Amino acid sequence: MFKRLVDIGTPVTFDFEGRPLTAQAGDSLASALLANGVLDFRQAPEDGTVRGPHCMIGNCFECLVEVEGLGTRQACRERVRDGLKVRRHSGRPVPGEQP
Amino acid sequence: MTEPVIVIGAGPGGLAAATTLARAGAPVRLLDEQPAAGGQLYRASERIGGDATSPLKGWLGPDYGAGLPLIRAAQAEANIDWRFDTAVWDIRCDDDGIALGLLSGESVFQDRAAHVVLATGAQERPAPFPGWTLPGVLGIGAAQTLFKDAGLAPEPDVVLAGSGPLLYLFAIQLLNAGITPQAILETAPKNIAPSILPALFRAALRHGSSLVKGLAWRRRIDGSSVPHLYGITDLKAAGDGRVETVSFRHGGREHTLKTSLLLVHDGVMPNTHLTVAARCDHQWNDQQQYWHPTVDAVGRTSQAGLWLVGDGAGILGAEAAVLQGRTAGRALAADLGLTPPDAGTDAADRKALDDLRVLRAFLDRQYPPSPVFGAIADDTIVCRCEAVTAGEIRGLARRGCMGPNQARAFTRAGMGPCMGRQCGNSVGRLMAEELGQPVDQVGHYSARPPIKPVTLAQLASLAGKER
Ligand SMILES: Cc1cc2nc3c(=O)[nH]c(=O)nc-3n(C[C@H](O)[C@@H](O)[C@H](O)COP(=O)(O)OP(=O)(O)OC[C@H]3O[C@@H](n4cnc5c(N)ncnc54)[C@H](O)[C@@H]3O)c2cc1C
Ligand code: FES
Repeated sequence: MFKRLVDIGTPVTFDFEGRPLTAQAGDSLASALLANGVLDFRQAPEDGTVRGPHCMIGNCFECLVEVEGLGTRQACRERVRDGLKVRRHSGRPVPGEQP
Repeated sequence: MTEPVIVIGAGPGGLAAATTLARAGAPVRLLDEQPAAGGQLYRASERIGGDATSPLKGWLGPDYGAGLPLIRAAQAEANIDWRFDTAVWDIRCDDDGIALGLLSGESVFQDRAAHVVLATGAQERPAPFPGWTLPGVLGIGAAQTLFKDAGLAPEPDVVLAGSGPLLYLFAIQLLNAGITPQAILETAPKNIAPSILPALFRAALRHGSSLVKGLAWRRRIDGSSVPHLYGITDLKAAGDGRVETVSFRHGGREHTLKTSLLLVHDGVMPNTHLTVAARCDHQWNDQQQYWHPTVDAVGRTSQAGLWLVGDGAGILGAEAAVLQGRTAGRALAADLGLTPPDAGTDAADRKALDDLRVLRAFLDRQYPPSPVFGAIADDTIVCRCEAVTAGEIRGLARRGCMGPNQARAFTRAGMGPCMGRQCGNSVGRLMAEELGQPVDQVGHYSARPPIKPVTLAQLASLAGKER
């Protein structure tokens, strides 16, 4: 797992699966979740296995989460904000498309 | 001249190209999907370099420190119009120039220029092995990204596996931060094979300082308490919903380690989604097993007006990206009828670039793509998005499937959200191997826009909008 060695910003509270979690301003959603010990971000529709961030630079799409009920977002390319509601993603994301 | 040159990517290559063009008097629009300049190597340079109290600068080392002056030099140019948080999702070359589809926040818009410089860099080479889709298995570059961006570091039970300069560099950065990884499992052999010695001697003559640095890294790692094994094979990750154990063979025996985090690395390869979408000519680098666009000595692609600098043109490293950016910037300025800045250093830049090519020829031979990740077992997933295994791809090839694009239609491999960024390289190699043909004959996936996720609602809002 990961631990925070250096602070990058002021505390931010967001909601993951109904639980309040604390991150720091400047965190991506992926780093915010990893800093809280969350590794599994989504369930792959094809084989039902759980997946989590793999590349951290927007390439692998394994970090997909649901943000504010709006559908699929890449957690490594999205910034965390106070009060943001985030859930694990499950189901089939359409290529090149955020349903 | 008033029409801006568009530079895509604010890493070392793009920063150098933009600065050179701006100094020549060309207006430049510099786009990057990230919120700040620096690209992969110099990521978060402004935050970390600008904070005298941040220990990260010291931990990351002197090479990382070279990024901030590059960024500051670009910021000093009034001719550069910076556009961060702007992703390029479409590129088309036609008789009127180059048209781009851009996405910024929730807005989608179009831009167009006669001259575009791509500096879109590289990605870690996907390294398939049993268990690589488990949460907690990340790239070494991915973990380094978290280190720079978020100050997050692996806990000491971390296992590093694979090969290449980035493996050593990150191990050193962790040691600097006081973290001693549980183990380093290198897939490369310890000794340099006799057949590689001539390349080593040539590199020593042309770029000895880098070899000395590499040796010092290795000595520091081997002098630490971290177990460092060479030539491991049969890497596997296992666990229930997340990685819990790593196993491998070494010294004729199977070993298993408990861990919560496995970081792997098998080198980097160019990002080719934009250049494939732009229908640039590409060629296969058989030694490094990757596709890269064909460019001339100063960075012109096969598409008129479209230039490419940095690791996106073939992996040469950040120092080379800067030299390529400057060289291309000067050549493009001359094409535009402007006086290129620092024309006197052009010959020196090209010589320095040649030296780096000689260094890379050695690194490429010492760290080829590892057979540990290349010999993919039939039941290992290659397409992570659609859970397609190597065996399915091999089976298709045996049944007469012609190449990656046909395999994509049959299996959906490459049709998931990552659009083949993770499986394209493996699928091409697997099919070529099975068909007994060279990879460049088998071909690669085509790329259809949008190459970044764009919603239908965003697309619908596009009508008629520019910039
Ligand atoms: C994860 C990772 C970590 C690395 N770490 C190191 C390191 O520590 N040391 C080292 O020597 N080398 C490292 N490298 C190698 C790296 O390629 C460097 O050699 C160097 O960063 C290359 O510079 P560049 O200018 O070619 O591209 P980059 O620095 O990669 O910059 C490319 C830029 O283009 C942007 N971009 C790409 N596609 C788009 C798009 N469609 N729309 C908008 N913007 C886009 C990216 O956001 C990025 O900022 C790393 C590579 C990777 C993939
Ligand atoms: S972690 Fe790979 S796309 Fe986000």
